[in-house]
Amino acid sequence: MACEATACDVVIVGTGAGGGILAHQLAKAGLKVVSLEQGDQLPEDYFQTTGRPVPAVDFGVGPSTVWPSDPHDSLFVHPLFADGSIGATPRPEGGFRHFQVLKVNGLQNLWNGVSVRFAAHDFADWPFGYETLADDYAAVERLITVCGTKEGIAELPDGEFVPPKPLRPADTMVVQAVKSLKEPFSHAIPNRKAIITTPGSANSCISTGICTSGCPVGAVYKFSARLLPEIAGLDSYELRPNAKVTRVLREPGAQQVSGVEYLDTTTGARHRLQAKVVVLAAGAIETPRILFNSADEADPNGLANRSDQVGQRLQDNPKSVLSTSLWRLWRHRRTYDIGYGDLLILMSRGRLPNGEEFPFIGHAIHGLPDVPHYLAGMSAFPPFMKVQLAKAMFHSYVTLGLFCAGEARPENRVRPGSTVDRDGVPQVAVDFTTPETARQQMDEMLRWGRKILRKASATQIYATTDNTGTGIHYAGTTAISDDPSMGVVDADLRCHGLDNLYVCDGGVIPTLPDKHLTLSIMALSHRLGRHLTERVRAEDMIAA
Amino acid sequence: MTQKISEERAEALLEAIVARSPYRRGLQPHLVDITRIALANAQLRTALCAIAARSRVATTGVVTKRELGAEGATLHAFLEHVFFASPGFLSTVGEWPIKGAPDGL
Repeated sequence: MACEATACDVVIVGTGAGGGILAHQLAKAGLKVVSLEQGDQLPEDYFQTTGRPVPAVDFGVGPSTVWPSDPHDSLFVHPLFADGSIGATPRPEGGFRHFQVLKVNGLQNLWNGVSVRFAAHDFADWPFGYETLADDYAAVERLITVCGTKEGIAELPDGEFVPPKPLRPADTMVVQAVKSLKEPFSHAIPNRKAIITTPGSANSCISTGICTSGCPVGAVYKFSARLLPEIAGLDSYELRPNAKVTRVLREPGAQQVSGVEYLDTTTGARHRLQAKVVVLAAGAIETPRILFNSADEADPNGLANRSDQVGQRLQDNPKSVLSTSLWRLWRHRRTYDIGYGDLLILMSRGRLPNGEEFPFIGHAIHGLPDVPHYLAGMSAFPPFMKVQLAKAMFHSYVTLGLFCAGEARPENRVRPGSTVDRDGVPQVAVDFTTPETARQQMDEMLRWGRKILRKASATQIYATTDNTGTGIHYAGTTAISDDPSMGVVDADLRCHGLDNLYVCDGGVIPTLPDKHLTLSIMALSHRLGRHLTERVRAEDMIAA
Repeated sequence: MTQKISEERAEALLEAIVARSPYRRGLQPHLVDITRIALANAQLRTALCAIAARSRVATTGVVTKRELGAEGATLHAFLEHVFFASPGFLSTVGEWPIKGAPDGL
């Protein structure tokens, strides 16, 4: 759009997993679309210069690096993560750790790219099944480019893949360890990630060995690297950064919303944008915040919240992480492509003390310890020995990250808070306690992980568990359900009781399976794109 | 509150601390960067301010273990990190330059 529109067909709040796919699809279809993003756009070279914790940039030391540090926490100190003064939650010490990136692409700036489909049984609590979403999964896989291999595993449906990068010696050792268990439900297969592995394009993977620090060439999918360039020049599309949505607008009690109010974070001015359709794709914690802050006389507890469902049943994947050095790889020089770090998906099942089985999924990661997190495990050695050990062990490190399903508990919830961010916008509070079952599951995943690593020649194993938000797979807070008393959105992702307000982010997933949710958010977004295109065209025809 | 220390004072202090380090040969070529990075880091800046308050490095040119105090461990961990992340060390394991970073492209 040549200048800032005051009205559009569809306003999309957020440019992450859901918002990016939807904006691309609707703008390509010719609808007038405005994407509102509360942050700005990072410079194109951000992840080549200041944004990646690599030795070539200040030895991997940033303003918030601390000593001593937990090596498993190294992913969570990135300066892009919003702090409590500006994010949706105040992030109180010891509370739920809400990770949010307030930039164009949102969390996908630091996305690891794992793109797996939910299995048929993962849709048990949904108003539709896997087959309804299968074509959208395929369309998104083609759109974002997913590498992987067809394996014929019912619990992890195959998709449309480009070839993955070749396995490394460490991967082969883990594969052999899993095979040696002779468990039909345990698998170690090539990872499925939204990465351009084929050479020859500006976005081709250059094998940095890690994706979660931000990809310097846009090989890992994110909106600004892949789809935004295709629509940025269209008259029908506008990306409006620094636009923090403060509320959805409607006449009190009306079933139609009329648009959104947003704050220009650079000037402090408030603006209104009229829209035929409003889509909230801001994330499972930010979206409830907007709905709570949209309360009016008719709905004093927040928009789309007549059944008190908004914010309930917040989930994140409980995780277990184990790191070790494989002694069989000591003194090996690297002669292989390090690739994108985590080249394997691991799948298995654990058994709880009550005999109940549960599935889990995860990755084997073998990267380069160029930022020396391994020093924490060498504190007992004198400096000259550290140098020798570090050299001998440099290419031997393996980390397993294992995730199990979330548990939908009403008491784990996002609720209106008592704080405001630095722009004066009310924040939300998070009540979250780790369920006992999750603790047992995390322990069981550790037990399995130790077994695998020992078979692969592990030395000392450093293991941690966590379920305080560091899975960064937030779900459940605006759940999909045909029953308005059990969820917030219907099968079309439309808020119950409101004709033209939709939600499309992790919040709509009612029960978080063990599998990573991002590809499913994107598939839902693609499906919503089809629905909204038909809807807006039909309404335009009637109006004409 | 952000604690303040001048760049010159920080560099003199870090030069003296590096001189005590078993990794000093690998660190000394990076002293300018070490100072800049330490001043930009919240924990290190606080530690440097605390050490500066009890140090006589300006007159003696050295810093004692007593002057380093509890903050000495933080500075030691930082310098050790820098050594093992330095081009000098990474070259010995065949991993310099780094792919995707300014010096590695």
